[in-house]
Amino acid sequence: MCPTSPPLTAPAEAILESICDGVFTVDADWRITYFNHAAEQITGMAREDALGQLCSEVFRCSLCEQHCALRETLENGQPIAQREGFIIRADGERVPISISTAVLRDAAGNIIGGAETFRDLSEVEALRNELKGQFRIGDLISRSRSMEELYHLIPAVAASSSSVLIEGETGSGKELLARAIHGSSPRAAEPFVAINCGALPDTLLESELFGYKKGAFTGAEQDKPGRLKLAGRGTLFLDEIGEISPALQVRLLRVLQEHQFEPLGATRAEPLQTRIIAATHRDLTRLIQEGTFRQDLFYRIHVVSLKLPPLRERKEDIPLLAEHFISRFNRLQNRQIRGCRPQTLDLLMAHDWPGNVRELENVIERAFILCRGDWIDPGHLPPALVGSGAAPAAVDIAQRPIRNARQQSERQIILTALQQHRFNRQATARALGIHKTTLYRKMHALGLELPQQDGRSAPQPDSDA
Amino acid sequence: MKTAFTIWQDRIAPVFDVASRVRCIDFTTPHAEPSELTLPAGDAFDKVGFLAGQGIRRLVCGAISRPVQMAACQAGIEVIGFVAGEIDDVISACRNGSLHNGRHSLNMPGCGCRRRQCCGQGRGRHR
Repeated sequence: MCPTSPPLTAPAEAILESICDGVFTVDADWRITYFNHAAEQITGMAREDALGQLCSEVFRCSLCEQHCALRETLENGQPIAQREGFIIRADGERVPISISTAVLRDAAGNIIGGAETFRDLSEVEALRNELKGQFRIGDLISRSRSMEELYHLIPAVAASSSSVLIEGETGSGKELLARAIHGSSPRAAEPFVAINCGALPDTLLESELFGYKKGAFTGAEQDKPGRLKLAGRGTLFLDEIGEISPALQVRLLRVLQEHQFEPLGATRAEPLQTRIIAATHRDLTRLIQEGTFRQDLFYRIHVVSLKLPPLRERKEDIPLLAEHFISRFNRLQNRQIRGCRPQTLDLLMAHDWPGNVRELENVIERAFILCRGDWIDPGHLPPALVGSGAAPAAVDIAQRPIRNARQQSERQIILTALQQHRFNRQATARALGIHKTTLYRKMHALGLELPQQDGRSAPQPDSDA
Repeated sequence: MKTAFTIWQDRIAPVFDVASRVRCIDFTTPHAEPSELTLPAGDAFDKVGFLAGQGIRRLVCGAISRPVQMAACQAGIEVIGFVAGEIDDVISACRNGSLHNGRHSLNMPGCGCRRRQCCGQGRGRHR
């Protein structure tokens, strides 16, 4: 405790230091007078850095500015229990917490400050997410680290109405991501309208987007609403935005700037209520340098930019995605295929997937046509995946060397990851994109000994500042 | 460069993600008068989009979460985050360049070694 505060008795201090909840106290000037060990752990801030500082600048909580629980308690004398918010640690990580508050009084009953206890809800959130399948938003499914940041972004992006640009290779799931954003947004009940800008000639694309009025041109016998109108208060997904002509770029820019659009032949502009999500597989900054894409339009659609990694950079997702597609085709085709043989999975993992998730989906769909049993064998895969040297049917599904090769490969990957993370099993599992228990199971199956060294006590080479 | 400072109780607001007001100064214009803007309520990404739309190219703020900071970088806004102090002191430090090069004592507690979070459009997060 700081000298201005009443000293804690030894037992009280021992208790406060041993509990898992963060506790801090403030004086009448909102400066921290006590900061327990759990508070250090949750906020990532050393006690000596916190003591004497303004609590809002130490705690950095979403509630500080407008919904400070401690301020309310000190104003009305009423304690507050379990108000939820988040704090931001020095590395930029948001930590969900719940807060409870109480008034501090001296022996005479005078208010001398306040006490706040807070609980880290990260574990609860993670469990909630696991139960809900948080790694699945809409049809977007992943357990890859490279997708984790994207998943964290989606709820916040969905809640806003800003334009979004999705970048990713063909087949990487750009429309799925756009649908996931729409589905998680307050516009979810409104239409999601998609248009592929690269698939239509310029004039047709213009009338598809903006629509036209009766008599606007020969053959326009009745009003035709454009996609902007059809999307209403929903979301318009402009796929392959990099393909549109300079003239149409200008029209689209005006729509985004003025928040209104004019159907062909109309005398009055209509208000734009639609949220725009654009996507491209091209490098728009390069197109800007080449002079084929307008910089001002780029900045309009680039308020939030999301990048989908190609499947070859998140191969740990392949088993999960294969399982997802098998389950979907089972449902659609009324089949009961149980899954892929390990050898089949090895071949799927070895492929580079230039066509990304769409290619994987097509491979599974093809396998459903060929497969008459319970399991997808290597022979049900396209020759390009099995290898040109051997006919698919010649692959022996019980071939031991393949399994051995897989085990060797897994063993090497796990060992390397363990060493890189100084045998911290939690960090290793996270880096490998698997659950800690799966890592233990695999280590046991592969005969990998658990080292005596405890990685949790060692600094992590790749941890954020 | 047009710079925005999040403001709360005459200090830098503790958390950008929920900040409600900014003070804006265009340092390229001599003797430019500061102006105050109200940020959109709610979503932090809307606040970033709003600032980008106002031509802000540098943001000086308190704590800022990583996704929001990334969004700001992508919108072409340089972020000098985890700054604390009286707003006038911070503006002075920004004016004389000490805030930008990190040689100042206006860091939030426990953020002593932080400098610029990111610089310019399209740059990823800094470690």
